Amino acid sequence: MGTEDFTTYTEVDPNSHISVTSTTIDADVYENEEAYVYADKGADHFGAAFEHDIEVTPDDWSSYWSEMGFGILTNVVDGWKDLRNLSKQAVGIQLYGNPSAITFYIRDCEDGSNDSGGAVAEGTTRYLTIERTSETDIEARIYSDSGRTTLVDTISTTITSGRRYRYIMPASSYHVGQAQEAFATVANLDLNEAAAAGFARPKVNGTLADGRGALVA
Amino acid sequence: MAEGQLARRMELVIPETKATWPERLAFATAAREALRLQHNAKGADFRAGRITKEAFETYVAETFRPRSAAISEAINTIKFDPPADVMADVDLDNQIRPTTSPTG
Repeated sequence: MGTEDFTTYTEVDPNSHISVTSTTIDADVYENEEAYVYADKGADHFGAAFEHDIEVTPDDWSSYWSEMGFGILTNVVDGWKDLRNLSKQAVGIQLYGNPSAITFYIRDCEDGSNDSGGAVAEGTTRYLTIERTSETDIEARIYSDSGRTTLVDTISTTITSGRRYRYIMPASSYHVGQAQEAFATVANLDLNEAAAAGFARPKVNGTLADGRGALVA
Repeated sequence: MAEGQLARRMELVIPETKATWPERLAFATAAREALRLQHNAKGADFRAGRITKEAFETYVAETFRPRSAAISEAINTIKFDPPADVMADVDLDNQIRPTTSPTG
C-alpha cells in the first residue's frame, strides 16, 4: 500500500488557500474562488474497476450551506462546480450542508445521477472507500474509523458505461460566486495500485474480457 | 496483472412478494442496512479480538464487498427507473416548496 504524494500534484490556488503536504491537502476554500489540486495519471488510467481509499474532515463550514468536492475522477481539468453543473465527464464526492449536518453525495456529473448519506459534523473525520463495482455502478463506503471496521453508510449511483478517466482531483472548491467557506482536510489517498506487501486484502484494478472488474492479488 | 475473482459476482434476489417499485426499493435499502449491521458486528468482533485481522479482511473481501456491490447495483437499477404511474403523480411546481434553511 502507498498513499499518494500530494506534493507531486498540481495546485490551482489563486488565493493561497490550499496547503499541501505529502499526505494531506488542507483546503480552506471559499465558494467565490476556483481552487483545486489534481494529477494527470494518463489517458484512460482509471478504468472498469478501481478502489480508492481517502479520508476527509470538514473543518469549518458556512452556516449558509456550502459545498466542496473531493475524490474526483475526471477527463477535464476544471473546478467541481463546472464539472458537476456543466455535465462534464467526471465522477466524485461532494460535501454539502451546514456545520451540524454536512452530507456526502456521490455524483456522476455526466448524467447527474447521485445519491447522498452519511451526514457528518464539523471536525469529524470520515474514512471513505470509493469503488467502481461494475461498468455502470459506483459506490462510496463511509466509515468512522481508519481501520474501516465501522461502516456509517454506503452511497451509490450509476456511472457512464465505458467511461474511463484521466485526472484525479482530491479536492476542489465549488465556485458559485459566494463568499462562503467550505474548509476541509483531505488525507491519505490510496489508489490501491501499488504492490501490497504482506497485506491480504484483494484489490479491484483488473479488467476481464467482458468489461467487468477483476480482483487482483 | 493476474486475474482472479469477479468483483461483482453476486446479485440481490428480491422476493417475488416485493412486487411494486416502492417495495423493491425498500427491500434493497433494507438489505443495505442489514449488510451494514453485519459488517459492523464483524468489525466489533475484530476489535474485541474475537476474530483475527485476517478473518475480518477475508470477510470484507469475499463476503462484504461483493454483497455491497450487488445491493448497490440493485438500488441503482430500481431508483433510477421509476414506473410511469409514479412519475405521473409528480408535480414539480407544486410539490416542492421552500424550507426555512437558506441555500448555498
